[in-house]
Amino acid sequence: MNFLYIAFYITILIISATLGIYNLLFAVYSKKAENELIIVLPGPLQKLLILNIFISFGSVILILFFVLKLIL
Amino acid sequence: MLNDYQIIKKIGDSPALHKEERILFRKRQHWFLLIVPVFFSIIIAIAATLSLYYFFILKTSQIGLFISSVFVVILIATSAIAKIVVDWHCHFYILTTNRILEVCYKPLFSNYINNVILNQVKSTEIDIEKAGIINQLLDMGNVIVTFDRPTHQEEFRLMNIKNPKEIGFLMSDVLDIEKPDMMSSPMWYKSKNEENRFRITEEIFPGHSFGVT
Repeated sequence: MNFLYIAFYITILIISATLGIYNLLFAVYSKKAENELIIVLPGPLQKLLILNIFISFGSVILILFFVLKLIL
Repeated sequence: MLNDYQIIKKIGDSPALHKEERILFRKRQHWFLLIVPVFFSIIIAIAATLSLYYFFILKTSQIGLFISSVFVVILIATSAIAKIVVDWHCHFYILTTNRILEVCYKPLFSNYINNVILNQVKSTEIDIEKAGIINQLLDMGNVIVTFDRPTHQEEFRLMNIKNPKEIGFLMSDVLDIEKPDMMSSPMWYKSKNEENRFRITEEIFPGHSFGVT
């Protein structure tokens, strides 16, 4: 059963990390739109993208903590 | 032998806009288009969270798994909502006295700018569409302009905009007027010089963000 839990943790770890990278790239390219096309995203939207990056970072750490707790 | 107007110059050497060019309208798609996908994203996220609660708390008592997966669900939902809103925000139409412009920028995915110089095309038809109960209630619809180009016919579609009738009539007025010949000005190209880059929208709003409504 532990093996299944670890597999699930690893899956959500990968998803979380991928989404973090996606959000980071998305924020960078949104900034690019600001530089190239003078399209400025609303402040709350920019904050949401940054918040997503932090949620992703936080969840990766949290998942690692739970995986290590399960293994050790 | 090239005439003056045939010489391609850097944008930095150019005047900002044609002297007589002015903006007639700037439009985004109707805000209602945001509501449905955002609403469904929230509903799916809530359903997923409840399912996770059922499996991991009520069935297996795995609090760690529940907390971790809820974070991922929140992350997926907020990422999807952010993408929907950004795509909507970066898609707009601009009509000036000299051109009609569609900008559709999807960060990280695609980038599309359709710029029709009005004095280079002949507008043959302007259709205003408003089909469906929701469109009628919200005054939302499409305006389709058919341009007769030398080689082919092309349609310019302003999709799901507010007040399509008003916009359609305004476009009829604008496109009906004979345009001054813009070819007396040289054509511009994108310079590699970072200080003088070609910014299609900066010409319209120098140093400002779009106040698109």
